[in-house]
Amino acid sequence: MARVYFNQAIECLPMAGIIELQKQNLLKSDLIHRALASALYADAWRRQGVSDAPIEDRAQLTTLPYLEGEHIRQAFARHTPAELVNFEKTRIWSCTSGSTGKSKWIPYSDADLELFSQAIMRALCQQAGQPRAHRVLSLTSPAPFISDLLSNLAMMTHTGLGLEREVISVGLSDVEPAVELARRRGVDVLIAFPSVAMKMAEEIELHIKDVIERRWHETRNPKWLAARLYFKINKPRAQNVLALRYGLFSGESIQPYREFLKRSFGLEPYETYTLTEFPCLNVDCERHDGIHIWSDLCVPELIPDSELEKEADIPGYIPKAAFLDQAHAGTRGEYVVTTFSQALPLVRYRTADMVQVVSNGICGCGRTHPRIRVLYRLDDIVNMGLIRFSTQEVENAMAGITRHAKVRGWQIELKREGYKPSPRLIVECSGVTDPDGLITEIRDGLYRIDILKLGIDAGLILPPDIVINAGRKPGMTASGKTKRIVYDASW
Amino acid sequence: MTPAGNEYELKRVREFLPLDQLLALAEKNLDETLSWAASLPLYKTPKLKRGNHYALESLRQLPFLSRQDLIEIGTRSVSGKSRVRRVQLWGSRQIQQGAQFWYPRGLKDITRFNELAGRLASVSEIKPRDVILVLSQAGHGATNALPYALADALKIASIPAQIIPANMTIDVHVKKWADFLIANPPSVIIAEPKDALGLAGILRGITQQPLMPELRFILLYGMRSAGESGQVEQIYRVPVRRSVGFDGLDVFGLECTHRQGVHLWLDTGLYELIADEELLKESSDLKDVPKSSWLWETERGVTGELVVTSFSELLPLIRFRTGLKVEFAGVGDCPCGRSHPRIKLL
Repeated sequence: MARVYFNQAIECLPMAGIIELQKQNLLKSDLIHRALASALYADAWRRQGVSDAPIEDRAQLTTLPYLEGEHIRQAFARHTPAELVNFEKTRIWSCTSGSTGKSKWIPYSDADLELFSQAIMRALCQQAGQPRAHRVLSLTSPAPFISDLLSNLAMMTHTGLGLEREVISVGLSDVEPAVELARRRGVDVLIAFPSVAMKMAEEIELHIKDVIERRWHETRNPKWLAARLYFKINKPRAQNVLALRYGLFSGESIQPYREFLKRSFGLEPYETYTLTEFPCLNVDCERHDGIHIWSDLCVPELIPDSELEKEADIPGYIPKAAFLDQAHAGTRGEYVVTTFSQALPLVRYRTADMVQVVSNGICGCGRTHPRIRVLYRLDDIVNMGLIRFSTQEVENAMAGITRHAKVRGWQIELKREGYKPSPRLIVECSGVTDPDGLITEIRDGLYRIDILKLGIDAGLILPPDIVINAGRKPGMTASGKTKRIVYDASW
Repeated sequence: MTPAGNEYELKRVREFLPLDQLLALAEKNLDETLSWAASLPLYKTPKLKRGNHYALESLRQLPFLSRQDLIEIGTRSVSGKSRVRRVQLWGSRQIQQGAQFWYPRGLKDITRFNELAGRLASVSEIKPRDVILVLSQAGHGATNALPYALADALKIASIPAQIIPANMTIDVHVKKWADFLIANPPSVIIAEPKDALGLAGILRGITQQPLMPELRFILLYGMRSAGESGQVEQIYRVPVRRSVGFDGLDVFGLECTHRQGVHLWLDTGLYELIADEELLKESSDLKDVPKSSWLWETERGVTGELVVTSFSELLPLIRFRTGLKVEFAGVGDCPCGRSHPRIKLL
């Protein structure tokens, strides 16, 4: 299999070799000392008696405390960045979208950027093995988000290596004008969020007949007449405009969108998984049987479901994790990662992403790195893909309902119409004076959640359906509370 | 200035070349540029032929390129795939409502842009431990790539400074990250005036403390009037330096620490000035084609419209009328020692 940038020695290295690399990297990166130099770890670790001896074996990692997103947020609130990160080595910053209300800022050093470049090349070479140079339409969110960094880093890496790759890179608000250029240039690869790609398909399919009609009237060229006749019989598809071969999707789960993307664009979708905290672009291969986690660049672990339940049930219980490569296929749990990052190493970082192990065996593609599927978020985030916000924001909105009733409780049911998220808000109220007025008041309150409003206005999600006193859906948390977010079978 | 030997220092030498050497370099670049331009449908004119040799003076025999032409270029440059050299990246800029200017960039263009980012670090005297906030524009133009090119340039120059890339277009998000600039205050801001002012407004809503106590200077781009820089200076209470840049041209000029006008780099383009009286004649007689002079041969203090020719690899813009009103500020006499001509933005 000819590949332009296929690092077979690493990507197909037997697991024992990968574990040896992890060990070497743990030692070489001087993880313990660098973590102890950061206020993010120092106090907590000293309190817990963590030794400053270097890690000789990755099993020692499991004795270290977990790190959570909230710890990072709190540390940045209490300390200066210079106390938290390797300030001398920091080159560039990115931040998370702030679903919980506040963005987390993450620094990267030159060495970290070099590592991300390597991972980008591994991900992009999934298609780059084809003999022709690719033309790419890349739809990115702007800085300071990671998508902007990765897009620019990919460009710089390609340019640096002298690789042929033509890129039309646009922001999410400039998609429409880019489509015509992409068509003319014969773009064959799409890099996007799945929901944004589908929104683009919707727009193309909606307007295709009008465009043909206008061209026919303007030019009287028989090809437009033929196109007109064709679409009298056939349903317009985005693939009639863009002849895409591959799609590289990130930022949200591809699952609900996969078949729709294939049908609309006629492309082969690849799924990626990355974190702002550690923007190592993990990707599924041509077998599409789980995302390969590049385990030479980090030490991935999994806290199984059963341990998460114990944690919820027993106050103070610290769940046990297994190394990802030792977890059985089918195991579900929270993804945990330790990185060798220079600017801010993450030690046993709990991502709050619920994942499922697909396999630890050798993939049909020959790669040996473990494969996972990303399922959903474990924290209090209403996660509709690109559009996500904290349940606290809904709580605040509900607390503001006073004119037509008093809200006693609420629940969000997430379902889909086709691929599109369609939230349903079930509200329990007392003292309802005007049911219609109440629904308007609740909707107004919800629309004050900026990101929700943005998603509805952009057509990425459907407006929430609001029902009053219809009875909350069953679903309990491990500690016996009614779940705030429940998932319909269509999700 | 003696080159220290590393890649960064070697490139710095071109900032200080004597004018005659710069012009010789510019002539060589122009010759290559016009030879290539002769093959582009956009520049179909008997005055341009492939294989001809072009001296500096041949440039001024060619027609001007207007803003309106740019809109058409956006379409024409993408037709006829064989005529487009190897494109690495498409940049875009909205020129007017509904009119997008798409410009192709090749490997050399990107390399040159990265070198200019290094020049920005040199001219602006970026120091170790500087924290540089780069606010990019909407769309996908040069300013979006700038933070990353600058990061790479600083790495090459071994300057341990940090970059915070950001964009103000999505209001919802800005509110969630802006307070980081209080915890990690920038010492340099690179921004459009409207974004610099917008950010000050947001930070004022978060803190009563003085805005960015570490700030040394602000480098402004995309100014629409001279008054804007005054407003920014007043709010942030630090010196403002100006720059000029044109998406699609891969040319941008910078003001150095002496603030005696924006240096326009003769190794990346050529510059002419259409003096005010010529512009006046043109406005009273639409058939009149105004005369221009080389910027460096203009008398100091003369004002007029800046005309730029870029040495871009794929789509050079030849004699582009920028619409910028400028004043010639001198050449070869800046205390910084840089020989490239300077303008003041009016």
